[in-house]
Amino acid sequence: MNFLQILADIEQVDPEVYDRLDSRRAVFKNLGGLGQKLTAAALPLAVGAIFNKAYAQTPVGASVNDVLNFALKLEYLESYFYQARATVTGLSAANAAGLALIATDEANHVTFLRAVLGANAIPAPTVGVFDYTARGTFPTALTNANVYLALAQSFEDTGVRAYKGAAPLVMANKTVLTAALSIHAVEARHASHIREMRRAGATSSIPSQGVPVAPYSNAPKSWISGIDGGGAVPGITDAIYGAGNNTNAPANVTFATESNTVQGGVSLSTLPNTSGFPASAFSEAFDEGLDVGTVARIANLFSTSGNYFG
Amino acid sequence: MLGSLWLASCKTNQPDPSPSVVTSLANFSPASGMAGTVVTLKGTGFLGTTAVTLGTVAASGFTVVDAATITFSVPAGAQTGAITVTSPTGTATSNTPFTVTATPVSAPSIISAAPASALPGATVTLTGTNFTGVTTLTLNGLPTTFTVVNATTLTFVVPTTAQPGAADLIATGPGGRAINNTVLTVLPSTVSVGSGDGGVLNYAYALEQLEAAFYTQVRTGTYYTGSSITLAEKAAFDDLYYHEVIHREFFKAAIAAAGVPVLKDLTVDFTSINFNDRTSVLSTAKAFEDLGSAAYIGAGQYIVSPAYLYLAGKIASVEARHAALIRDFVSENTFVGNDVATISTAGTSSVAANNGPAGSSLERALSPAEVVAVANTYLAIGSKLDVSGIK
Repeated sequence: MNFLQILADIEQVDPEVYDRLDSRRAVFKNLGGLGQKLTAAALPLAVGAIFNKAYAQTPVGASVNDVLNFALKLEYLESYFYQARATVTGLSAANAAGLALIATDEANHVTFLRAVLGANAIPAPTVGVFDYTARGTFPTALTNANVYLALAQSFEDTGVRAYKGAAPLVMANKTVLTAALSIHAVEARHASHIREMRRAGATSSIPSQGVPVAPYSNAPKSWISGIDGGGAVPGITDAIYGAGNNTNAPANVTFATESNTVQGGVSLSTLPNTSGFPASAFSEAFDEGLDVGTVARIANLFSTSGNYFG
Repeated sequence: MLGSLWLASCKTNQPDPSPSVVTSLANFSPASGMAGTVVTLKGTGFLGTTAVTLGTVAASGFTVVDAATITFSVPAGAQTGAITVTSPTGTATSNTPFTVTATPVSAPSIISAAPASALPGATVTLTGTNFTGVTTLTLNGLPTTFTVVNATTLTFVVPTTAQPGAADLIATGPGGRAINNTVLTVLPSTVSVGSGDGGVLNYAYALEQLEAAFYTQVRTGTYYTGSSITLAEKAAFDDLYYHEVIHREFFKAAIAAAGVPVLKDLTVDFTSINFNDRTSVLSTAKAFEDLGSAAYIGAGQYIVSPAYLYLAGKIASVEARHAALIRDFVSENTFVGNDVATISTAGTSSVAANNGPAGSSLERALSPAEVVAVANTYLAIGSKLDVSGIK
């Protein structure tokens, strides 16, 4: 927790870190003004240009680019998935509208990440890169509302865990970190809403009013309770709620299972003023992150090649 | 003849105690004086006097020295007026008025304050002397609202804008001024969260305290306890209560374990919330959850330790999940919107640097200063947050 020491460490690999801390503030200012001045069509190029200008001399470190490109792949997985929602039958108008809103967000995330990465962005994948049937496991993935929402929940929960786990990897770049945390929060909102749809039913017009039913595989809470009974498709989605791989994890960062109730060395269930709380509350109160490797293995289920995510 | 002589002799040597001389008031001295001044009356027929009044006020104590002399003290509250003597042989009134002069008033003094330290807005009792007639009481030059209880007791309200530190009190009365800067200390209206990673953790702890207190109180209001709340909403408010209390207690334990001074228990001010009304509860819950989510996004960049950043992220996404559901309770499909994310617009934060560009679907990041500007409206004086240490 010695900030000066950390800065000194960074300085050894990036001698201009002190200057960069200031220049990044300027980047933020530029970002803020863009919305009012530019059309949406011109935006990606313009945002990229700003980042290129800021980092032209000392490009974003390779690891940050790798993390962002990995996030971009996940966003493509989600974006193409929601673009395919038109073929799904059995959705209420309200739920169709909710999915349309999520689809917009995911497309926006793709646009934004491509702009941030600029020339360092991966080639845009085609829809054929992804196989939402998971090689036949979910033959009605894009037609049956219940299957579709089960996969949507799985993607969103995975996304939340992926961004959370990646945050410490990009923290040297405050601009990227804040953007990652912003997307992380939006994905969590999506996950919360998809879970509403699932517990109220695909045809419900009032998704928020569904009542959770344990073990939460079919009618989950908006937050993850324990391991949610293995997720939307127990036996296949368990890894989304399981533990990650701590090899190469930052100091004191552990990719625990979602049922974890020990946080930062504190055993939550023994905290004062919590007597009488249901045991599930202690795991619900905290989400868990995942390492890139584990997320890649989960996401590769939906990769046509089986290894798009590495 | 003898009899008459005897009688005459008898009258001369043994004054008849019965009223034989008409009461009269010839003069008095002095001619003027303040309350308490001893006045001497000269006249006749004073024996057996039953009352002495000055103007309309009776002198409670007077002394009949002899048939021709009375002394009395000018009674408190008497106004300038004639002196009247009432005795068994008649009533006599002075031809000229006695002039009552104003009592010279001593300057007030301030001896002590209770409590000896107080927050802006608190009522303080001063003990001292000569408070009667005090016209102004200032604290550090700021006028105060005060009440003179009696000559030795005065109550006043510490101005809400008073700066912390020794209070410079000046009471001004008819007899002068009392100046005192030792009896009262103004407590700070804000509490600092500190600096560094500990400051960020205390900042998060403060927000979790606020949320936990809110949901604790939600569960006592008739919106929650009544029969019209839906099962989904009731279940959600139970969970939100559990989660936020756990967050609060977690931070308290974790901050202490990290060896960082733990922020005090905050006092909330929920007077603007109607806990019996669904709309009021939901709109406040929405404000708190959206605020919390934006706060975590905005605070990440100030955290140095990867472990703390990761921990904060674990809570941040739960807050975002809360926010989405609460917003859907308010209005379906508002789990995300342009007010909290740059979906089709930009400008969700007053700090431009915290905005993503339009069409990026980045959730807004609020700076600690932006967050506490809102949070402090729900915190009592003395518990309002100072986040200037986070940078």
